[in-house]
Amino acid sequence: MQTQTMPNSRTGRVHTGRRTLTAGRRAAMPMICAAQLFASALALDGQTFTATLDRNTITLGETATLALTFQGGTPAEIPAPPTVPNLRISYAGQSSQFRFVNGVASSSVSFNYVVTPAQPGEFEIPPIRVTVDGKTLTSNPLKLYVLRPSQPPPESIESGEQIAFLKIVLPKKKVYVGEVIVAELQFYIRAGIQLAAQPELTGFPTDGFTVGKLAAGGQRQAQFGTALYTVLPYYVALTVVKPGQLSIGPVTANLLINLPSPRAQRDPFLEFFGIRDPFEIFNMERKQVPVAAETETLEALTVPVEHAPPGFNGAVGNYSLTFSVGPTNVAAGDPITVRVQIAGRGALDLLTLPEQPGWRSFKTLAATAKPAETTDPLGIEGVKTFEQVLVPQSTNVTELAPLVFSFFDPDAHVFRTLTSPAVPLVVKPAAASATPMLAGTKVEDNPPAPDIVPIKQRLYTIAAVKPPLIQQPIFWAIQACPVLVWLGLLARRKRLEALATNPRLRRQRQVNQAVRSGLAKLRQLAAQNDADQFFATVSKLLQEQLGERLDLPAPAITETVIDEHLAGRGLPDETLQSLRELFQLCDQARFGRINTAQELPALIPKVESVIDQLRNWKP
Amino acid sequence: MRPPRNTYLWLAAAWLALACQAGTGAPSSDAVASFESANRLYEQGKFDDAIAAYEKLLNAGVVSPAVYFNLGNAYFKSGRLGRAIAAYRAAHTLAPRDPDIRANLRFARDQVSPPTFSPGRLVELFSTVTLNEWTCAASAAFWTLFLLLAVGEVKPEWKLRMRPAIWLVGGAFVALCVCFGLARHAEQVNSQTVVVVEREAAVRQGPLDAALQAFVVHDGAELKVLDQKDDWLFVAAGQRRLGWIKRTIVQQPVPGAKHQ
Repeated sequence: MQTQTMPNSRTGRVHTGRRTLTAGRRAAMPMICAAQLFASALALDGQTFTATLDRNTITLGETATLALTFQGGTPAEIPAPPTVPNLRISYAGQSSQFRFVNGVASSSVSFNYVVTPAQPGEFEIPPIRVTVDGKTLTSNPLKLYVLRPSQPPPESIESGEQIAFLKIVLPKKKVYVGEVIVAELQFYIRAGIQLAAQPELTGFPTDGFTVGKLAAGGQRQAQFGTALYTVLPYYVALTVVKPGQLSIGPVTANLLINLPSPRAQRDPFLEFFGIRDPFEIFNMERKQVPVAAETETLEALTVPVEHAPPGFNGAVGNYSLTFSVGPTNVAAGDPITVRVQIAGRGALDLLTLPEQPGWRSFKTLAATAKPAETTDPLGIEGVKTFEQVLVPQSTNVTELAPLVFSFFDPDAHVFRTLTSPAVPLVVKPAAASATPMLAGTKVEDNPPAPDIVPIKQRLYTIAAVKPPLIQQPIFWAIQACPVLVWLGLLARRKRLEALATNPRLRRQRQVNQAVRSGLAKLRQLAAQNDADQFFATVSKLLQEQLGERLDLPAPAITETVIDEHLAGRGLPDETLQSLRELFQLCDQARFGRINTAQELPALIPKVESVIDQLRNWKP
Repeated sequence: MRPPRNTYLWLAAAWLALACQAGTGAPSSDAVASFESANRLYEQGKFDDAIAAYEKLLNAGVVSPAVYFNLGNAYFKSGRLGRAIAAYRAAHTLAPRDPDIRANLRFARDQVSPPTFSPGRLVELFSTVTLNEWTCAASAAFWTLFLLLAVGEVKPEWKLRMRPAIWLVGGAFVALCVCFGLARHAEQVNSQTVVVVEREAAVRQGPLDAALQAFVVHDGAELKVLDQKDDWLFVAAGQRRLGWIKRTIVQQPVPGAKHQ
């Protein structure tokens, strides 16, 4: 008989085929040894078969590994695991081991199974029979103790020692049969610890509920004492199915987290500069952390049907009703389709259309229901659509009685009744009818009027019967106004920009303006017989005009300029001569009184003529 | 050069004048008296007399949604469903968002025996705003756009700040032009839809009295006109219901049309 060894015992790891468990479980070695003592070993002609558990005591939510080890031979096929109530044993892979002891080589093959308990208690794995090379080998029975999980003490949470824990939060403690509640599973993970995968629910026992969809919520932070935890909430819809004391839990789950490896070597150089180790990812170890939430109890009450309105058919929740009917003008015997939409929050899948006593004058076909269209991830809010075909049997039918739908509101603890308005119908004799046309009318928005709206008593305003605006020329003429305004302003801006970039043009405009005002001033001075000012103005006008033409500063223009810059450049000799005379007159006037009142006005046409010729001259 | 400050005021006044020109006017005292007299006839149950009085008002140029609405009611009460629908539709064209008109038109249409032409939701949606209202809205956006551009020319330093507004108003103008196009399409569909005003009429396979009967339409049925030849209209009451009907059997609901 040979004592059993754990697979890959040198590294202390168990190969499960799916993942490598940390086996920082060295602390569990004494238990493993104990398991080995209990393990069976059967040797037949050098062939051995041993069955072992990596540990014989686990907490609900955790898993154990069952290893079936064969030495001296291997079975032709994977051994079938035994069937144990509330214990799920699933194949996880196989591993091989080669040993060389005192010059003797031996090898063994292990078939590994993951053992997952469904509830706490003591379990016995019965002897397993396996045929190897035509011989039947049998293992001894194994014991597995599964402990009830409990939440960690507050001290370990508040001190931050606890890596992770789980809470279940229920919205209320008293519920009604048929009600849908949303339970919140809160996974608390110590801040700074990374989750390697989504939490895996390993146990969600409920008594008196049907479990609906599970949806993840938004991550948040929570502080306990000095410790900060990341909260991962998950929501699950639960429908109450029976009255009495109901329980949820203990809920168990496994969290796979990344922890810094204790063997990781830190780079002092990088640490000195506060740089994160880029190879940190290779120094992480994954750890499976089982978490559990304790059992929660609720009291489920029955809906007080003794106070229920007639027609109540067990709907619990909060709903609204939309109702449409079409066609409303039919021949006797023709179908009328009633479309009912019940929208709201509750067990939508369980909703049925109640029988309507007011519709007994119609022949009714079975109502059809479409699958509920839900609008939330938990599938408890949305709309369910029913279609009911009614056939009026006679022309005496004048209306469709209101549809009545009652439900129990568990929040307000009262029954509520939704009623649609009655719909007037016109049922003609069958022979006079044509094929009806469906024309649904949404009742809630536009309830059908029983008669036409009465006449208007006021004339209000008279409408102008004219062709549309777009066909009227005045419309287009008016539309042109803003365009013209904009174009005018655009042209103005362009002109200003042109002036700003052309100083010669700007000076030309300024000189033109100065000449216009100067000539007007000359007439005034001549009338006043103010010879000094008159000739000073003449001199200034000639200087400005000549300076602009020759692109010279105005003060630099004197009589000598005429010979230096004007002679031989296309200006008529008479003009040059007039210019000389004018400049000489101005000079004479500057030094002596030579003019009379009759001479000054006579000079103005001469000045105008010279300035005109200068303005038209292109140097 | 600065544009005179009053220029903008004049332009705004011109635009308002245009809007008013497209709008409505106050009724005269004679028109009000005739209208009330017609209403009294209606209240007394003299629906035929009321019809004559309302039509007289319309022929006198008193075109009002209220007159068409009351005329529709009078026709409805006298059992002439098709003419009632035609009157309601004329009223609806003038006041497309009047809830009373919409309710009575819907109520009257519910009484009609099939087949009948249904214009579709898009046409119904864009029939709730008149063509002139879309035009004014687009025109307002157009004016705003060019006035913003003009302000940008006067105050170049504001140009950058006004750029989002210019894009917004320009986008609104384009959107309104699209809406105008759809409304124009809706108006065309409505204008091509006639109403049967006889108790029962045969739609034939050809424009001849001797042609085979394709199907029968009833009082109030609406038909889309696809073509016409002499006194006959080629109409559709649905996708596969096509045929020829005599022009005298149907009425086209046009506001302002003379009534006999």
